[in-house]
Amino acid sequence: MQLSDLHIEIIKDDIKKRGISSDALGEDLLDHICLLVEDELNETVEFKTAYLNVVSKFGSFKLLQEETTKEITSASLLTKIYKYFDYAFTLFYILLGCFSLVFPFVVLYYHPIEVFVILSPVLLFGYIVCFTRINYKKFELIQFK
Amino acid sequence: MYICSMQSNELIKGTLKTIILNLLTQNGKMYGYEITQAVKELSKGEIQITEGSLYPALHGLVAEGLLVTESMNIGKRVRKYYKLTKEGKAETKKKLNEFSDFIVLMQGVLNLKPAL
Repeated sequence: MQLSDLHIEIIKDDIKKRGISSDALGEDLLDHICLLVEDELNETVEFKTAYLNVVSKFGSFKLLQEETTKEITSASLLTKIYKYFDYAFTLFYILLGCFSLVFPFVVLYYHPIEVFVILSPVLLFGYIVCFTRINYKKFELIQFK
Repeated sequence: MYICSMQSNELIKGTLKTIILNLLTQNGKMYGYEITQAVKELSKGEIQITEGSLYPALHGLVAEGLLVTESMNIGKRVRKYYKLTKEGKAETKKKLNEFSDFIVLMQGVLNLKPAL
């Protein structure tokens, strides 16, 4: 049985009164409660009985709001930190790759070939690290498009 | 956190986000009530997710950038569908692999035979 617009307004106001301050959470709960109430409504059960029965099973709305706010705050902070490190590492690897590209020419210009041969494992390591990182980023973009 | 008729809460704690992410991988987009019903149906009534645990988890996943919402007006109310982002798809694979490894590990530690 479908709820009327008046019933929806009553539920919306009651959710706010019970301590739900976030609009996003309020919209979710309004739809959820409406669906639960509609499931309970029938010829013998009226709106008020069905609504109070549904709400009694919900527990504390204030606690639900607090839990949601806490989850959002910690998730946002973690995401920011992760993204910051991800960008920083990618930039570092790209700079390392660029350095590895330019450095051999500088060495060859100022020093004999023997110095270049000695340094070549370091340069090779720089290339591998840089291009592995770039390929991983490309793989991420392709796989999860 | 959960209302569970048969399974221990302790066993299920910490897997809610994995359950949500996996359901969204299989179904594309879902709204809150639909998720609770799907879990209830898939677990044959053994796991019933409460609203008190579902919505903090969903909003947390949105804040982490793993889910996005799509709103649809149903008369005077708004129905919000949740769907995975590119990062969400990657995280689902990661979480499922982690969970699968954990099961194998526990089977070894507790000396359990895997169910056929």
